[in-house]
Amino acid sequence: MTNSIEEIEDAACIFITGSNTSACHPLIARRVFRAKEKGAKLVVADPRNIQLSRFADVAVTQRVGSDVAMLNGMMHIIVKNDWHDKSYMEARCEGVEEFLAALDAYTPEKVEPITGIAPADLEKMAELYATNSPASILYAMGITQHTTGVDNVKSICNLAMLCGNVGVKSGGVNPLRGQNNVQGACDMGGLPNVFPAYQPVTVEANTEKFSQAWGKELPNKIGLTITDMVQAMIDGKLKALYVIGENPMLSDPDQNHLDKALDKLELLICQDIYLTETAARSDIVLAAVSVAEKDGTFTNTERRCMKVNKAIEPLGDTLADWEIISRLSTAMGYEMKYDGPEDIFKEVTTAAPSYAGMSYERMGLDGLQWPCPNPEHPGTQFLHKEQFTRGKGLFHAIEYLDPAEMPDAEYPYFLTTGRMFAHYHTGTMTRVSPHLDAEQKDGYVEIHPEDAETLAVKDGDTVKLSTRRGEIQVSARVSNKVKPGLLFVPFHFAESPANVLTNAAADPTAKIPEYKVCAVKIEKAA
Amino acid sequence: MEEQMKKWLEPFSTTDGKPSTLATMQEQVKEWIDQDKIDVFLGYKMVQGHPLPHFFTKNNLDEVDELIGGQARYSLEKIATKIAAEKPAIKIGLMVRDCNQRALNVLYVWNQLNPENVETINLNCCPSKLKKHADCSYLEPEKAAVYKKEVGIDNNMDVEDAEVFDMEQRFKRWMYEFSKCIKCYGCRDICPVCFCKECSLEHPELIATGTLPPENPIFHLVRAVHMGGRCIDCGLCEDACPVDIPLRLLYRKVNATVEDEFGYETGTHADQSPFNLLGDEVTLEPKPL
Repeated sequence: MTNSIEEIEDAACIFITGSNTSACHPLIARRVFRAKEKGAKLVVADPRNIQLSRFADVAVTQRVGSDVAMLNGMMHIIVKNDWHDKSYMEARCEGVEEFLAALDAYTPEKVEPITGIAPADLEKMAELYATNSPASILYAMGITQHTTGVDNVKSICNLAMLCGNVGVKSGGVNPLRGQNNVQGACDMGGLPNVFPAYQPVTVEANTEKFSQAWGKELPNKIGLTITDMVQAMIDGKLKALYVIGENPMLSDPDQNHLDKALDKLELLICQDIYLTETAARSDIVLAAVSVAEKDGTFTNTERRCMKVNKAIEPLGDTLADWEIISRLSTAMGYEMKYDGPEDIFKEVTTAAPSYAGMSYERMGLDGLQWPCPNPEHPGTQFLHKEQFTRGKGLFHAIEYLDPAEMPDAEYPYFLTTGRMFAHYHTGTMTRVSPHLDAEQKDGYVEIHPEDAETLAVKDGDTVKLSTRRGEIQVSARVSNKVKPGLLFVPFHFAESPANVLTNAAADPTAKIPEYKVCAVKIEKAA
Repeated sequence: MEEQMKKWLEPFSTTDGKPSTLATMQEQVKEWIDQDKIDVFLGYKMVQGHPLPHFFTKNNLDEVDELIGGQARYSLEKIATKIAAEKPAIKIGLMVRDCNQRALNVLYVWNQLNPENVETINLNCCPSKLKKHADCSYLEPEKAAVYKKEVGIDNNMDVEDAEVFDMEQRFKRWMYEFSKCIKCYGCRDICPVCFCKECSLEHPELIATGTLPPENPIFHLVRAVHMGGRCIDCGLCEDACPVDIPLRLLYRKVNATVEDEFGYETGTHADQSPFNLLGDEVTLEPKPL
């Protein structure tokens, strides 16, 4: 997030797209409700009718995968009505002309057949966002999990810059991160192309610096993304896989394909707190401790690094992740020796400039938000205040592209996948909770009443869903949450794995798979 | 911060009404533990600037010096109930405000705690319909925001204020509030007088599962009905509610009905409640079919 969670409360307009905030980030939804009650305008664009839709000043259900067209359409209207912030654009941005030229074609009339959004609604969305300042944009996987994920994010940035909403309190571009520490993992360099704090491995000075710091010659070549790894396994180029705290058997797309890939591995190691579907098929399972049994830090969606304090000693024969990794590394010939998490954190502050001013002592209960470059620095509530990290904010001219797979005669429905409020990700931690299990015991497919009637499917009936990649059986939930022609399957449930159906087609830059759109066939199970 | 600290150190009074200071309260607790009058004392300790519930026992007697009073507010009696359920004979000391005391009375009525096993040290407390003059900053009400006033229910309203709306308005406004619910169960989990082994809110035959908001208004009304003759107006549910549903007001209305119908003022004493008319214990074996 460029901005902080607390600030959302004081936005004059909140535009939520591709985030079912009250279900997946409920305490951020709290800020949205409070903002709304204080008089903020609320715009919700989601292919499904979500809980927040009913509180919106305008809520639309755009066709899955049509986001670039929707956003360009909004910007077309904003520019046409002269609602954009010209002085901000001139002073702080570049690439304006080419970008504006690309918007010309996106008239409401052109956008409607792509998105299904009526011109009047699009007009209202544009007006509310552009004329109520500061305006905040919240988004999540509904924007990113597309073959055009990067285009979608760039379009959101275009919209925010167009209206001068980046670098201001209660404005910003705010991706809501799906895990408590996914921000922290990325900050630490848990990506194939960067060292800690996003220092590219391809920059020689960086490679040199870290080679020296860690006493080992480091490669300057970009590594593989998860999506690339699966292909490398199939090709026999990747022979061992070490999975930490992830359950790709359920979370990666196209399970049948992944299955073949994992079969080709010579060694699969899994490190987790439960025996997940992935751990169950591993050659070696390393038992890690849970959050209650370890010390350390997490960095959350608003860049806030906070202390985690051990409540109980590790149960059974388990170790903290850092201890497992250190021992393994030492056994393999590279000695990793730390006194504990604080020792490691001290190294973090030397490796990541944005963490340089942090220490366990300063952290307190509330933590610190990066960038925090020196011990006197109070941390940063929102980014890009005076100027953008790169200097000028760069507009991108983006053209709409169809998703990789569109419905056809054989697979006539759109399928989108996602989360429901009672479970988390692949259910590793939530499905073992009796209270959460009581809330939702198994998978389901949401289907519109009209479609259900056409197929003679009643609520609770078992249906067969099939795509070009595989098929599952699941019970039908007849619901107005989805539009006719759209089906929704949550991906938490191993018994009816949504990822048997999903398409592994990925964004060419970020390599994120298109979990949010594919073509599917639905039949009443025999 | 200094101002805040001063408040933590405000004078306290003991059950016998004699004025006391924090130090004498700490002495009292030590003495009780020393003399085995209690096995555990439930109070608060400051952890990194936050007052958190804490157990004081013989094993950590030194920590009693860190026991604080001030404005910390939590349902310590709920913790006591859980301990007592596992160890019925344990003697528990508690730091109580009026709301905690009212909760204790309800828990005594419903046989969740045995008054003979409970010792209390009293603190000054919050305003409530059941105690009008007091101070507790945790309940200093936030002014209702403009849109909430327009379509919802102002959390600061009294029962009478909320009844000026006609039935249609009332229903619409309450439904607005309920439809924000994210089903976190914070209201139930913090509630000092929620102790049922099986919770109706989790009963799939009564309330549909798997959707947000929860099935409304039944989810909130079931809880409200169960608060009749039980809710002691501590307001912790409303404090806990992330979406500002005026739960305290709702339960006040329920309790007003209980008072009107039965003349029963919930929590003010530990006498029989009109709702727990327990029969005699059945000692017979069930009849063979």
